[in-house]
Amino acid sequence: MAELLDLTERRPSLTVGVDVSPAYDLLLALWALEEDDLDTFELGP
Amino acid sequence: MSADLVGEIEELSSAHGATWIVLLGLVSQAPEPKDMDGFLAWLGEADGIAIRRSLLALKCHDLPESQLDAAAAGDVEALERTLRSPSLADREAWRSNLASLFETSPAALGPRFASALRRFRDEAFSHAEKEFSLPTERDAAAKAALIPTTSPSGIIEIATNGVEHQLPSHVTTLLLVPSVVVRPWSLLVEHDTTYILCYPVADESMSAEPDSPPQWLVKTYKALADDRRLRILHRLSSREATLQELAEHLGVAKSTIHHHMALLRAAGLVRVRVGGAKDQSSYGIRREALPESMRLMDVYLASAKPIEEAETP
Repeated sequence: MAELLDLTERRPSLTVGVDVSPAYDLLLALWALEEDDLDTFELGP
Repeated sequence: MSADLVGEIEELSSAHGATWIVLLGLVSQAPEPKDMDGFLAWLGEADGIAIRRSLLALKCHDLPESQLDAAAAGDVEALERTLRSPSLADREAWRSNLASLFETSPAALGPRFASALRRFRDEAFSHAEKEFSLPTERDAAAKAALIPTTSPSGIIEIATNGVEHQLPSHVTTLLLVPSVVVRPWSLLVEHDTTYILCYPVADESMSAEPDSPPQWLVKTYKALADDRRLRILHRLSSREATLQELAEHLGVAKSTIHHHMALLRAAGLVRVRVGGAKDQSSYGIRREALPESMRLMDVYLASAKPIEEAETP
């Protein structure tokens, strides 16, 4: 079993960052509709 | 969507979206600019063997790396051994999906994915892409501002609205990815030693008002702005207490205390310990939350643009 880390403490070897790309949401949309009917895909209003 | 695109999407991923999860990891590795055109162009030219390797790694990371490398490079025997491995024993859909994807040559794999994604974008996603852009950028900036002074666990808790994550020690990078699509859920994806946390873009980032305060900030100060709730915190400062003890202390009904505790918990000002004496939950104060709320208020106020700059045409 992997050793778990208490993230309440910072550790130098862990880098934390934010990444933005519209490609993430595009892929997440495909992921989310996997179980649904692809013909009825809709997003937003 | 057109029927042939639906067919292509179903062929590329027929195992609970696993293919798209792998591609999420590739986005994290893609060079800037990561706008859609830039990413799709990069994917179209990406090394097909590396894509195959990422596909295999998703569920077979416990197998020898040399075996996965050989399978990705086209060693039929290594691929068959991988597909027959216990790692895929209960994952028939993914095994079948992998076998199908490996029928596409490495040289054609990147272009095939890029083409399908481009068509999906054009036929179904372009409207959403425009709509999601500003909230996503706004939320990314808000979370980035927290990173220098907030612990990783604190950022995760804020980003996911209260989820506590424990990351394995081999993780070297935690990447926060704001997403409108996953709202209100979160999705954690492991890619090599990077954990990609796709978290829901916050309500205030979805708002059209650029100066909207973060909701957790509003919740915190609303929770504090009440005589009884401050008395509860005062009581909990000495030691933990059950709902019954708090009700007796304040001379109010247990249901009233329950209401106040719900607000204090939602604001992260108290913690609950389940299964104490007499099998009752007991509450304690989260002292660290108070200076944290003041610091986050500072971050919010510091995000205001100088008046001179805002009024200069």
